[in-house]
Order: sequence, then structure tokens, then C-alpha cells
Amino acid sequence: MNDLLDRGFEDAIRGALTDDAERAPHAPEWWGPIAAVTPPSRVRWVAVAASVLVIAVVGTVAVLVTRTDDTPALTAATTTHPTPTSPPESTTDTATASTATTVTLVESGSCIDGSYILQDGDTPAGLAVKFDLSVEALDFANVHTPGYDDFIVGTRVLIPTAGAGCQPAPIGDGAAIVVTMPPDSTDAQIALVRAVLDDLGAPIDATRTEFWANGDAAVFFVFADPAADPTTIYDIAEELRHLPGVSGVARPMN
Amino acid sequence: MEDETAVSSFARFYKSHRQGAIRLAWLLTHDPAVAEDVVHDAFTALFHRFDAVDNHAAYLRRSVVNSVYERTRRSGRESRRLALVAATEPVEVDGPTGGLIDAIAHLPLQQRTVIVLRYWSDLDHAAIADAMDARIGTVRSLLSRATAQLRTEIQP
Repeated sequence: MNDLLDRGFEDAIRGALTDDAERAPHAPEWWGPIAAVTPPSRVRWVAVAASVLVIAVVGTVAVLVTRTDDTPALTAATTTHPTPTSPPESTTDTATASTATTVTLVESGSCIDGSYILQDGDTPAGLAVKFDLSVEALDFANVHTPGYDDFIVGTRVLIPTAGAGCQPAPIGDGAAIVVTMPPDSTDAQIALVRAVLDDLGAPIDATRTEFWANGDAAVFFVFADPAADPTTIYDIAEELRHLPGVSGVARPMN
Repeated sequence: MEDETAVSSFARFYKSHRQGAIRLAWLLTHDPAVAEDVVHDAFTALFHRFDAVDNHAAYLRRSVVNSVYERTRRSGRESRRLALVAATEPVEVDGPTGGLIDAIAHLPLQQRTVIVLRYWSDLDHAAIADAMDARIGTVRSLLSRATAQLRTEIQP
């Protein structure tokens, strides 16, 4: 008897789930956009890994050579991405490797180029106080920062507003879409995102679209007309998401 | 995955599994936009590893579940971000429709996941454990608690 009741109950669950699943959205034709994203070849990754290794070795040697007893410990961070617009000014030492790749030395525990390397004991609230900003602004600026969610020590996080001695990363409270690209994005990929943003016109305010890049990410902050139709914003975000090289798009959720 | 044969294999897999994946994500989230995002991310991840993965369907299912979990874990942070980007009004989304559907939708995410994978995807305990990256004992426990909760919810 109990078995029959159980079976009836399980059938009821199956029926409810089947009915509910019918209300799911229809899957779009995504094959094209997915195909447009070229998977990295093994050869390319080997080349990238070798480059990073060489740069790390050169950077470490440079740090050891330039460090003096009264200077704090420095953490080497590589910047191999060509910055399309003027990058935030750095107030730290820089060493130029023989490969012409710039190695920026980021001092641990301070914000010098719009970013900060997490230290043991750091918390979002503590960082917000340190740089005179809100936790929400810190969260938003680091939507796509790997390791930020778990606040992993050593993670370089973006500092969106100016604090003492901190060159701010540009970010506006009115940004409707934030497009993130990895630091190894090609110039062509960045140019394509720029071109699409330029072509979109209303309700995107291209003149206010900001671009910022450092060694961790290239980010577009896209501003929109506050009166813009949310569906239009969603469509634009989707269009940007499918562009080659775009690793993430943050937008208002439905 | 460089050659045409592999690409067309993925295309066939995509076409045959896309709607099922969307439905799974929908049952777990009840948010059409999130469901689409989750499934797109899962297929993109699979695309990059298509040649290296043996069981494509299991990989896809696990990616969808993981992605839903990750988004849920960050939901508090997301909602705070929305206050900063809210230049727009939220779009109305149809929610659960009452009865058993409503009761399932209001289960805690882990319990909802085992219910969906067990009774909609028709997976056994081992496959559910694989999809959720959990132990079989945990799956049994969650399933037991979930069904008990559902019985309580729908009792007249």
C-alpha cells in the first residue's frame, strides 16, 4: 500500500516537473556565436605559458637587482597587453625586460594603479574603509575578477574610486553594462568591441563609454540612457557577450 | 577541436541537448535569463573540451548544476550590484504556478536539485552524486528530506 502511495507521489512529482519544464524558454540558435569563439590551440597555450615563464624569471631577477634594504617587498605583475588608451599612471618602479615587455612592480598592500593585491586578513568591508568606498562599489568593480568572491590572498582586485594614494580605475555608478575581456585579448578583438559599441548608438552613450585596462583585464564600462528599455539593454548585452574575446558581460538581471 | 568533423559533432550534440539543458536550468532557477546564461556558459565550456570529455551529456549536466550553484552563492552580491547598475526596471517573469510545482520551487537549492535530477532527468543516485559533486549518501539524505518536505507541503 505504501509502495503504491509512494509511486503515486513520485508520479505526481514527475508530472509537475514535466509541466514546469514546458514553461522553460526556447533555446536560441547559439551555435553560430559559440563557433565564432576560436578555441585556444595547444600550440598557442604552450607559447603563452613559455612567455609567462620567461617574463616571470626576468621580472624576479629585476626585482632582486633593484631591491634595496629599505624598500618593501614587491610583487611582480606582468603587463603584456597593449593598452589601447592611456593606462592609469603608475607610481612604482618599472623594469623593462630585454623582450621589450614591461614588467610593472606592484607593491603589496597599497593601491597604486587602480588595483590592490589582497593581503592576509583583508576583508571587503576593511578594504572599503581603507580606500573610502562602499562594499557595493568594490563588488561591482570586481564582477569578473577571478578569486575575488573568495577573497583569496594574492588576488589583484580593482579599486574603483580614489582613496589615499590610489589612482582610480574608471567606473561610473550609471554604468548599465560592464564588458570584461582577458588581458591576452588581441587588438582586433578589442577594436571589434569598440566598433560594435560605436555602432549601437542610442540608447548607448558612446561618448561616455569608458575603457580601462591593466594586466588583469580589459574592461568597458558602458553607459545607457536611464530611460532605455530594459529589453534593449538585455539585447545589447547579449550581442556584446557573443563577441570573440569577451569573457564576461554584467548587466541588470531580469 | 579544430577539424570540421569535431565541430559538426558538437553542433549535433548542441542541437539535440540544448532544449533539455535549458529546461534543467529553468527547473533549478525559474529565471529565463539566468537559465539561458547558465546553459550558454555550459555549452561554451564543453565546446572547448569536447574532444577531451568522454560523457558529454554528464559534463553538460554537471556544468549547468555547478553554474547554478555558483550564481546562487553570489546572488547576495549580485543583488547589491544591481543597485549600482539599476538604470532599468526589472522585467516581469512568470513564477511557479502553485501546488506541487510551487512546493518544489521553494525547496532549498540542493534539495530542489536532487528532486529535479531524480524525477525529471531520471538519474540514479550515483549519477546525481556525480552531477552535484556530492557523495551518494548525501544525495540519499537530500532526497529523503526533500520528499518529506514536499509531502508536508502538499498535504491538505
